[in-house]
Amino acid sequence: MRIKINNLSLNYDSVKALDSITLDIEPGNVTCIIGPNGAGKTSLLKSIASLLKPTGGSIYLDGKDSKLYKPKELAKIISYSEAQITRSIPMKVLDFILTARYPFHDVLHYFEGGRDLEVVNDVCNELKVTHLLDRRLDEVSSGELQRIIIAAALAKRPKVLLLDEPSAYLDIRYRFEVLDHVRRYTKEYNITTVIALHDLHLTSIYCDKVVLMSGGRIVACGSPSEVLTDEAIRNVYGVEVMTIAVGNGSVIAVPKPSNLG
Amino acid sequence: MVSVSVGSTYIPLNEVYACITGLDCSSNVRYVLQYRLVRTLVALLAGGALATAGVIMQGIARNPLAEPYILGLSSTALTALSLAIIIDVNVIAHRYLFMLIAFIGALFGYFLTSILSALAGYTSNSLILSGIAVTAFFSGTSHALLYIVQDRLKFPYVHLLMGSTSVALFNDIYYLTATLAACLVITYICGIPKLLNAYLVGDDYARQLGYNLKVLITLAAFVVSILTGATVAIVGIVSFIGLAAPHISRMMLGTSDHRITTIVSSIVGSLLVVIADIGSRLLMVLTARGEFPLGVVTSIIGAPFLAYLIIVGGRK
Repeated sequence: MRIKINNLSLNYDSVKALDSITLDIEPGNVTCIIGPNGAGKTSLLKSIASLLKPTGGSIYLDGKDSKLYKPKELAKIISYSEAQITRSIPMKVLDFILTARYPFHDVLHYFEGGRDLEVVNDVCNELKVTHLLDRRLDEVSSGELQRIIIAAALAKRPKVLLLDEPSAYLDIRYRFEVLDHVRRYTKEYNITTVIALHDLHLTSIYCDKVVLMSGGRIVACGSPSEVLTDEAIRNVYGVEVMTIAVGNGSVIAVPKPSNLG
Repeated sequence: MVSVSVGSTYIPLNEVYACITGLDCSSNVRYVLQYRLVRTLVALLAGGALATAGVIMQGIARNPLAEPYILGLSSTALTALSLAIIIDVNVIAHRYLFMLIAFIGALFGYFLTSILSALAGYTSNSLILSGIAVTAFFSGTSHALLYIVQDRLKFPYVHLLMGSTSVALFNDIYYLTATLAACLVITYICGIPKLLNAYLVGDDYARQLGYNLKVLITLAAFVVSILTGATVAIVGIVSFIGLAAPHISRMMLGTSDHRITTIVSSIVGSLLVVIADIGSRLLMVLTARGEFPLGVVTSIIGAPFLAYLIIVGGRK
């Protein structure tokens, strides 16, 4: 699904969270949004998911204004997931992942059908969380939980996948595995994936397109090698870095603390 | 059956069975049975209503300690009732009006607790503490109003304060059945159990599944208030059922899928209240001191259960 964002603005009270964002997002690509805390990454993702109402501008999904979609239609198309979830009344992992299938139910199909179980089974195998299904959400580690959250996001079989910081709690092995899976899935099903990331190295490996944001604006946009330059990162993050190319276009950004000169 | 046979006059179970099935029934046995049957049915229905209110309340509060009594809904409902009695004594003759007033009181309690909790930062502790503050204030108020009510008319108002099925009338069975059935049907048809499953995880998670939270959470709060109001109007304040029943059913079922726990909680709640009602009548027989309020029995059992939950919750 092609996403076209046209002159999008969003204000929280008087603070500008998003300031005239114009962006095209292609299907079959992994698009990463990077930028310092408060740059507007989450606001942009939530706006695409219609969880936040923009103050100005519009978002087109396959040429149709997202405001014209019914909430139930959007719920089938778009998955949005945060890094963590509330676990106050802990349910079973399986029950949680099955909630992702609710948009496909109605009053007559109150409980999960065979198709729902099949999808959930496939997704859980792919993300290696099948052995956790019988546990309660408060009995898994935060890294395991993060894979469960991504499994729930994919269990919708969405056309648009929006992930907010999917790698924050993962160890290095699962960072690669999970993002690798997301990337493969994006290519295979030709879906539109947008990920908000902090890790610049992962960004350079797994993203087709990088959007660098700062203060609610898009500062730079393009392929990882175009965007991840010493100068751009210094300007946006206020940190001196040295980017080291490690082959295949992947980049490691080594920070140089300014007080050491 | 056990519940029908126990009381100030013990009627052996076989006589109860014979009478209910219409085999053999002496007139005084029939009279006692009719009275106790009403009590038992009212206890069943009130328990079901309170437990359903409890399970939904815990969901919308995302807090395993939430319950209509703890969050102040029962006390505000009772205060509304006593104010109504003081303004116009005749309201007690109109049961549906009485229930409506209690519902408005409960709804007021819900919003008051929510507002207080939001002002205090909307953490799970602030919610419970706000509820305790509201409960304390309004149970104090309703106790004070009790004295005025007692001057006005000879009404067993004290039973409402502590909860009792002894003041229930035969017609109350219809009112309670209709209320409970309607609330359960609305809850299930509007998909509230599923909403709660998703809502427990987070606001945005539920919204990206297409749920309109403002509408559905308000609807759920209305259902809780209706159920609480209806029971308070008929049996008074029966505490902790809304807390214990959802926990017991979750433990029994090993799941917190609201599609199942809602209905199972209501059954567990019914049984708990009937058992508590039998307990209160047994106490009456054993101590020979007249009627023991039902709410006292549920508090004695329920409060340690709450303490247990706090300890288990605090260790995590």
